[in-house]
Order: sequence, then structure tokens, then C-alpha cells
Amino acid sequence: MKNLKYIITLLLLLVSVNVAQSKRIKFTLQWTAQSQFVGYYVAQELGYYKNLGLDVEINHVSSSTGINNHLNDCDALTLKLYDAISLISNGLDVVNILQTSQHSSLVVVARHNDIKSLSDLKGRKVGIWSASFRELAEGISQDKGLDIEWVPFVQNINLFISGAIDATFAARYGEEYQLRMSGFENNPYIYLSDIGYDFPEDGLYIKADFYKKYPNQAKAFAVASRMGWEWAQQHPDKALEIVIKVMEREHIPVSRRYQKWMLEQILKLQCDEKTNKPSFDIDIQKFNQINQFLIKRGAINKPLSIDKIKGTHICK
Amino acid sequence: MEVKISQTPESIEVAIIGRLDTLTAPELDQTLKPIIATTDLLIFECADLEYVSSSGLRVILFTQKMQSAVGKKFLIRNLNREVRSVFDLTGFSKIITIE
Amino acid sequence: MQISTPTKYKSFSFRLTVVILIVTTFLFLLSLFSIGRYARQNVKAESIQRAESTLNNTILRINSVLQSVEIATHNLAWVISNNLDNPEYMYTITTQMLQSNSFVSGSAVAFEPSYYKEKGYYYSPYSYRDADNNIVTKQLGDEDYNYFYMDWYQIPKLLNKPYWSEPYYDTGGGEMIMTTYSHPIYDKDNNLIAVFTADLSLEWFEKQVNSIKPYPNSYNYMIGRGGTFLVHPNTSLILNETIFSEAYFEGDTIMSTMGHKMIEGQSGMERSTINRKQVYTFYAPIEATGWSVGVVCQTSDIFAGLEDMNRLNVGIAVVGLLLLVLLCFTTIRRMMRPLEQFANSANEIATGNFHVTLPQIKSNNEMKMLYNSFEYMQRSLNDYIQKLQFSTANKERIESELRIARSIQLGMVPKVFPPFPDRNDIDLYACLIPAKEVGGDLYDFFIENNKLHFIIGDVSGKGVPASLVMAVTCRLFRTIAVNTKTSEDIVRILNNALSDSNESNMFCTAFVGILDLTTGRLDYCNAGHNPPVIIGPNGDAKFLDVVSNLAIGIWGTYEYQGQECFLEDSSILFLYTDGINESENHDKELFSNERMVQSILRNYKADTQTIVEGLLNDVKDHAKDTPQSDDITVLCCRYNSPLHNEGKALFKVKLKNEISELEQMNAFVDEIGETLNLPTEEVFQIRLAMEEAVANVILYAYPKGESNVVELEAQLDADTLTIQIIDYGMEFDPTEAKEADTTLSSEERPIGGLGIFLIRQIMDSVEYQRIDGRNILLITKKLNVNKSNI
Repeated sequence: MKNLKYIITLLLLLVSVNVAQSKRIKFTLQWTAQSQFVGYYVAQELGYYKNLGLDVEINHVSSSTGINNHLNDCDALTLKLYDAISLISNGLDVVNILQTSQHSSLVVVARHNDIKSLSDLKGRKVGIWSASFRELAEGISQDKGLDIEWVPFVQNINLFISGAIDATFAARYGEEYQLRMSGFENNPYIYLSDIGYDFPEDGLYIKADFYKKYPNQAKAFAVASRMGWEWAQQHPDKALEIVIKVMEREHIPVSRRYQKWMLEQILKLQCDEKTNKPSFDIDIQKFNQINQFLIKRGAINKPLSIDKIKGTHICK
Repeated sequence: MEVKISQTPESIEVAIIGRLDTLTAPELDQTLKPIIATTDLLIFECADLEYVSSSGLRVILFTQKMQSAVGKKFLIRNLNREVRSVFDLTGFSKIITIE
Repeated sequence: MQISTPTKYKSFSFRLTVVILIVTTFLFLLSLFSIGRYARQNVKAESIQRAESTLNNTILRINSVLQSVEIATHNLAWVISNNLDNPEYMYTITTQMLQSNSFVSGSAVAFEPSYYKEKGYYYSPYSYRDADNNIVTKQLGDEDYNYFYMDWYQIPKLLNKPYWSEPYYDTGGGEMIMTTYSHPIYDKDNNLIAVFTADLSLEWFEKQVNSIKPYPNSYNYMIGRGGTFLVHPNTSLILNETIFSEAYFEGDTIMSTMGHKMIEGQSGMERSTINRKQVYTFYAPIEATGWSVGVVCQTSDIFAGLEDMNRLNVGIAVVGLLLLVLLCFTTIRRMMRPLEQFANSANEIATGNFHVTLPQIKSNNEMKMLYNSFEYMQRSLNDYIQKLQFSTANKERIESELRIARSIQLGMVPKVFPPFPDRNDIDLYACLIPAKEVGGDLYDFFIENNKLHFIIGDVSGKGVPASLVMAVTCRLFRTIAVNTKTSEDIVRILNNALSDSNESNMFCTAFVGILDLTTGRLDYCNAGHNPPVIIGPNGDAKFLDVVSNLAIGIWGTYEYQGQECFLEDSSILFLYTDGINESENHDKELFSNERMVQSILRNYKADTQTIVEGLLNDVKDHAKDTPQSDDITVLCCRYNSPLHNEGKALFKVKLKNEISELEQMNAFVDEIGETLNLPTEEVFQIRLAMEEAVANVILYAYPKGESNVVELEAQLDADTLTIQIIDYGMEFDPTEAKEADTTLSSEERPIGGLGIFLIRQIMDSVEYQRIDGRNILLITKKLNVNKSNI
């Protein structure tokens, strides 16, 4: 039934798009090119966007700037759910059209073996991305009363290696691999998903006015992107090749192994823990948990409604 | 056996007729008892003596011993060839006078 | 030595060559192995030293450059501290840095955010070399180049000390892979003002590292503090992979362990397998940066020389062995060739050709010895054959003479059986089988006066000498026995005769007997011979009781002692020599007396010939293939008592034990006399003998008053009258009674003792036997009767 619905939608879209000229979408991804964004690369490379009459221009932020500096110069972008709730609540007018992550990818890696739980981080130097997760990390620190000396970073590996920090936040699909492959395979790894902070992350967001103006194109963008992700789930090896192609084009140094690892982790994080399949939708329970976390943090005044983030109010 | 005794003053002649054997020798012995050692010359007339055995010889030897013990004579006469050969065999020929 | 077709043998040269080959190969292998092992250890030690020294030299070189950069930076940092009031002067300083340090590709003084208000948030004067190697300058920091988060800025700031950054691709700055030496600059209050940097292109390190080339196929790599490949022949690994990711994805635990040692700053060596090749990795740290350089040398490279040497050695060994084999084979073959010819000669000789030509031997060695032996053998064989022919002729002559002697010897003993075909009281069979052509055993027998005279004897020794003594003994026996009444005397005279002329000290065991065929009385004398066997009519066997007299021919005056016994009717007297009972089989097991008796008893009812032949067969079966070692002689004789013979004149009467019964006896005597028509004289004598005997029995045989019987039997056998007086009284042998002395005078002579004397005198024999509670007195008299009267 679901497939049938897709096909009908697709046909409708094709008919409607054929007459119109291709709609250009400036799409900014929140980091440099890597497997984290595989679904979009697949949709782009396999022509899913083009077939649906979309002319998607994929941009990456630089490792040092972060997505927050690019919120206004694009039509679509990827955001962490946590950031999205905060940003939308604070006036950013975007809607979530595809949720590509169901779990938190965050892990705290300690440089010293005596750090076994978060409470052991008290008063330590802990690395955190300069561009994201700072709020979340501080919130957790506040929750646990940890009084951490935060060291913001763009790349944490050498900070960690040099001993300039005692622990660092890392992504399962990213820095965890790098740390493990830099001789820290036996250090303590504390996964946030295991300690009550399993906050879903990446989602596809589109500017609300674009969404209002071109609802079909927005829908087509979501559908094509989802098709890209589903293809990647089914063909991880071929998907990896596409990622590497993109990365080479972007002059990003490529480690096939690293990207393979990242791809696997990303696809795993995408899956619902109950069905073990991606739902591409926001888990309302986790959504509410983030709302509460942010209210407690003082980042937002009232909980964001699910309608607001999913753009249903616009459609009405 | 038959015994015939004929007496002369100087001799007694005893004629022995038939067989002088174990059966008859005691008879001769009895007959001689009264005569023996009584006469100077005792003669056994043996012309008709057909046979003699050691019993007979024993009587004869006894007679010889008795006669010679009292210094009297004893002789035997007319022994036939067979009987004579017995006397010869037994050495009686040498100790008894045979005519 | 057995001569066979030589083709069946594996050739001697082949076998010897194989043995030499095996031993030499073993020795070669042993020495190759030892040399290889020793050389390997040396090569290994040498290669380690070589690799390590190259590695250490390179690292020294790198360190000296790094040190010079560190010193330059330190010196210029002082200049910066003294010129903080002039922001533009920083460009001069960075340019100066590049000018005075050709290794340095770029240099910056990166100030803390908004240090100079007029310069804005980012201020970082930067000098670098352009494509034409001209030094150019620019301000580096902006929003796209947020240097505050760069390792080269952030880490020394956090660490509060100078820092060599991990190599990175500098986008917006150097646009190349480089490492940056960062020197933090502080104000008087120890607050960070700026970080002074000097960039070093990684390319330079690469050159230095790749100058290490201890072996043609060796390669080098350099890893950073986190194991990231900084230099590697596979450029795709550089900055992308770490030694740990390599180890993880290749499943190489040795590499992982080594990676940890390397990033810990250790130096050393590991042996492992990369791409299925054995390699040694030598590593040492660059202490200033915390990086580590590894030199990977293939084992095959390290030991290449060694393997060449091994190949050469093996080649030499193989060629040497082949030559050795060839040489051995041909040499031994050449040396052994005469052997084959000798073998052929030997075969020729074996076929009888003693004059075959021997191979010519020129050398004076073992072959010459063999030649001499062969020649000697040839000559000896010739001589031997000639001698053999002569002695064979001689032997044949002697054999022929011996055959004649044998027939003569066998002709000396009675050989016609049955010997007395018209007598039924004696059944006799005898047999003599010499072990050689002629032997020393003997037997003889004849009947004289109704008495069987016999002898069996065994002359000591065998062959011709014994046979001569045998012949003499045989003849003497005949001569002596005819004129001699008792066996004792026969033996004594024989002994005398033989001893007198016994120069050769030969002796003869003998058993001489005289069997009275009328009465069964056996008078015998044993001169050292085996005791004969007597088999009773019921098959009861016993050895005759014999006195062990000396064998004859030893001592001329020896007093032989005779013995006597009675043979029952139908009893068998068996005489033999030790050729029977001491016959041996191949196990040296004797035939034995027991088996001899058993064998006799098996046939004891049959005629004597059957008995003897049965026994001889048993002896033969016992001996089997073992040749007869001693002469075999057997004399077997069955006695049939004439008293039990039917068809003879037989008179019988039974008397009571009363003296008057003598009348009956007289009648019995008269009957005999009349029946046999005997002359008066004989009747007289028979009567006298019988009266003496019977009267004696009647008077003394039974206790006084007991009424019993006396049986009289008379029988005529040929011309001999046999009378038996039988009573059932107490045992009494009248023949043992004291006889009268007929020489005494009448006075001296006792009355009794005449009876038995008379019987003896007038009869031919008086015998007493006690059989089954009966006293049997046997008296015989030879009569002048005409048989037709019977």
C-alpha cells in the first residue's frame, strides 16, 4: 500500500513537474562531505531529484564554520532534531520533511581509564564541537552537575591525542572511529543512548516559505531524498562508492574504511529500535523529551508542537 | 617173600625167596631177631631172591653190623645178576661177604 | 659359497654406491643445514644493525632540522614579544623566518581574538612561498579560516607549551600537507597573546624518510602520534588511514601491538607477515614530534644473499654427489669385474672342468689373493679327485670282500628254520642282522641227547675284528658243547680257549644253555650277557635270574657259576643281544627292555618266527631312518613239555599213602614192563627206583594219620621213559637229601640214605619240581625199546 502511495505521488509529481521548469533547491548539509549524508548523494547521483523536476544544489559547510552560519543562504538544510527544536522555537522558519536519524550518535570517550561514567568527568577538560551539540552537552553537564571545562573543537582527534583534553564528545559514525583507529580502542566509551539521552539527530528541513510556495516540490524533495536513503540501505557498497566520488569531487581526503564505518553507523542509527527499519519520521516520545530538556535548559520557553516542526500547520 | 631157616651147629642158613622190599623187609627183620648174633655163621641163601630195595639192604646192613659186633660171620650166597648189581652200586659188595 | 646365476644379485657396485650416496647426502645436508643456520643468524644480526643504523641516522638528521626550526622559532618569538606595538612588523618577522630557514615553508603570528582592536577578530600575519618560491605575505584569519580551532593554535594554547602539530592539509593557508611548529607567546601576566608558527612541508619529511633504503625492496613509513600514516609508499593511506586501521582491517595483531609501541615512542623490531610476505619492521621515534618511522624489510631481501649462497651450496652438493656416484659406480665396477669372471670360472669348475682358465690379474691386491686361492683350489681339486678315484677303487674292493665275509659269517650260524621239523617239543627261530657287513654277534644251537644246547653272544666291538672272534667262538662252542655236560663247563672251557689266544683283548658276552627237552630243565650260564626273557604259558613275562659272570675272553681262570631252572610247558625262552633293546632313534631314545617285552607279548601265542619278525619290525619302526648302530641277534625258543604231549605211552596210577599200596606200585611197574616189553633188568631198575621214591613219599610226605594220595605217571618219549611221582604233601626235595657214602665200612655206614643214591645210580636223571603245592619228582631212563611196541 505504501509503495502504491509513493508511485501515485510520483506519477502525480512527474506530470505536474514536466510542464513546469525544474525547481532549483539550494541544499546545505551541516558538515563536509561524508557518509553521514549518503541518502542525499544517492538521490542526486542516481537522478532521483532530477527525475522529479528538482535541480538540487548540494553545499557543505566548512569544518570550521558550522551550519549556524548558513541558515539563511539556503532553501533546505539538515539539522539535528535538538538544534531544530531550539532554532524553530527561536524563530527559524523551517519544517522537517524527513527524519533520517532515530538515535543519538553521541559518545563520550575518555582519555584516562579512571573515567568510567559521566560523573567522573567532573572538573575535567572535555572536548565538544564548536559548531554543534554544545547546548546539549552543557545541558547534560548541568543535569549531572559536572562543572566541565569545555574545549570547543573543530577536529578533536589531535586534541585528544596530544593530551590537551581529558575526554571528548564524539560521534559514533565519526570521531569514535578515528579515536579507535588512533590507538584508543581500549579506552572508556560512554554512549548517550545508553544513559537516557537518546535524542534523534539528523533530519531534512526546508524553509517554511519554500514549503508554502512549492509544496509539491518540497514533497518531491522529501520523497526523492527518502528514495536515496532507502537505496543506500539496500546497496550500502554501491552507496559507499557514491559517497567517495562526492568526497573526491569536494577534495576531501578519503578513507574508504572510515567512510564505510560511518555509512554503516549512519544506516544503523536510522533504524527504529522496534522495527529495526527506518521510519523517516520523528519519534514523538523522544521529541517531547527534547522539548522538556530544552525547557529545563532555558533554551526555549514552551514546548514546540510536533505540527510546527512537521509543517502540518502550513498545509492547513 | 618167603623165608626158610635151616640150622646146622656151626651155622644158620636163611633162604630168602621172592622180593625183599619195603613191604617185606620188616618180616625178614622179625624173623632174624631170634637168630641174629647167636650163630658163628649166618648165611643168606639168595638164589631165589628176585629183588631187593634199600629197605632190604638196610636189614642186611643191620644184620652185618650185629654179627660183626659180636665177632661172628655173615655171608650172602647166590645173588642173581640184578640184585648183585644193586649190591655193587651201593658198595655193599665191599662190606658184606658174598659168595 | 653357493653358486647361482649372477643376474639374480643386485650388483655390488650398485649397492655400495647407494650406501655411499646415502651417507654423503646425509653429511652434505647436515653441513648445509648447519652452515645455513649459522649464516642466517649472522645475516639477521647484521641486517638488524644495518637497518637500525640507517634508521637512526635519518632520525638524527630529521631531529637536527626540527631542532633548528625550534631554535629559530624561539629566537624570533622573543623578537615578536619585543615588537607587539607594531602589528605590521609581524609580517617582517614571518618573512625573516622563511628567509633564514629554507626548510620552513610558511610562518604566521596568530593573535588571540581581537588582540589588536583595529585589526578585528582575526589577526594572523602570514608569510609563505608561492609557486615561484617567492616569499609572499597575507593576513590569514577570517570566518572561513577560523584558526582558533586549529590544532596548531588550540593545542599549544591548551598545553601551554610549544607543539609540533600533526600534519594536516591546510586549506586556505599553505594548501599542502604540512606540520606546524607552534610557539605560544605570553604577556607579562602570562596571558596568551599569540601563537608563532613555522610550517614544514611534509614533503621534506617524506624525502628524509624515504632516503632510508637498506634493502632493494624495503620501504618506509612514518606515523603520527595517533598512528596516522604521514609517509607511506601508498599515498592513499596518508592522513586517511592509521596503523591501527590497517591492523584492524587486515587482522594483523602484531602490527597493532607494534603501533602502540611506536606511538609510545619506543624503538625496536617486529617480525610479521604483510601481503603474505615475511617482513621485519624496524622502528624508531622522532622525539620532537612524537612521530615514529618504520622501515619494512622483506625477509627474502635480508636473506637474499644467504639464499643465493644456499642455492650455490645445494648446486655444488648435487653436482658433487652426481660425480661421486658416477666415480664410485665406475671404479667399483671396474674393480669388481674380475669377481664376475671368477664366478664364471667357479661355475665352470662346478661342472667338472677343473682346467678352466682364470682371469688375468695384474694388480697386487685382494683380487690377486682371490686369484691365488682359485688357482690353489683348482690344483687341490685335481689332486683330490685323483685321490678320490684311487680310494674309491680301494673301498670297492674292500666292500666286495666284506660282502663275501658276510655271507661266510651268516653261513656259520644255523639258518634253516624250523631247524627241527620233526620235533614238536621245540619251536625255535633265530636271526642275526649285523650292523655293518660283518658283525660280532653270534648264536648257535643243536640237540644232543635230547638236550638243546644253545649259545647267544655279543663280541665286543664291531666289524671285521669282532666277526673273527665271533667265528672262533661259534666253532669252539660246537666243539666244546658236544662233549661237555653242563653249561658252566662249556663257558669255562670257552673262556679258557678264548683267553689263551686273546691278543687283541676282545671279549664276548654270552649266554649258554642246555635245555633238557624231556624234563624242561634248563641248565644255563650267563657270561655277562643280557638276561633272557621267559614268557610263561599265560603270557607272564620275566627276566631270567642270572648271575653276573665275567664276559668270556677276559680272564682265563675265572670260575663261572651255572644256574638252572625249569621251563614250563609252552613257555618261551627269548634271548637277544643289546642291538634290540638299545636300538636308538634319532632322538637317542632307546627301544628299551619294556618295549621289547611288550613286542614279544603281542605275539606270544604265535610261532617263534612271527614273534621275532614282529619284534624286528617294531625295532625298525622305532629307529625309523636312524641307521642300525649295533648288530641285532635274537634267539627265540618255545618249549613244549613232552609230558603234556598226547599220543605217547602214558601210564597212570593213584596210590593211597599206605605202605601196602606198594603192591599197586609193583603192578604199575609190571604193567609198564609188560606194555613196553622191557627186559627184566630194566623192570628191576625201574621198580627199584620207583619203590625208593614212592616209599619215601608214602612214609614221609604227609603228617602221620593223614590220608592222602600219591600219583604215579609214566610216559615214553622216543626212547626215554619219564616217570613222575606226585604228592600233595609238604615241600620236600629228595634230591637234596644226603647221599649214602658207599665207601664206608659196614660199621661206619649209617642205615639210611640209600634211596636217592640208588635212584640216581640206576636212572638217567632225577629232578624235583615244586609246582602248585605239588612235589613232583621226575625220573627218566633211556630204554632200549622198540617204538613199534608202543
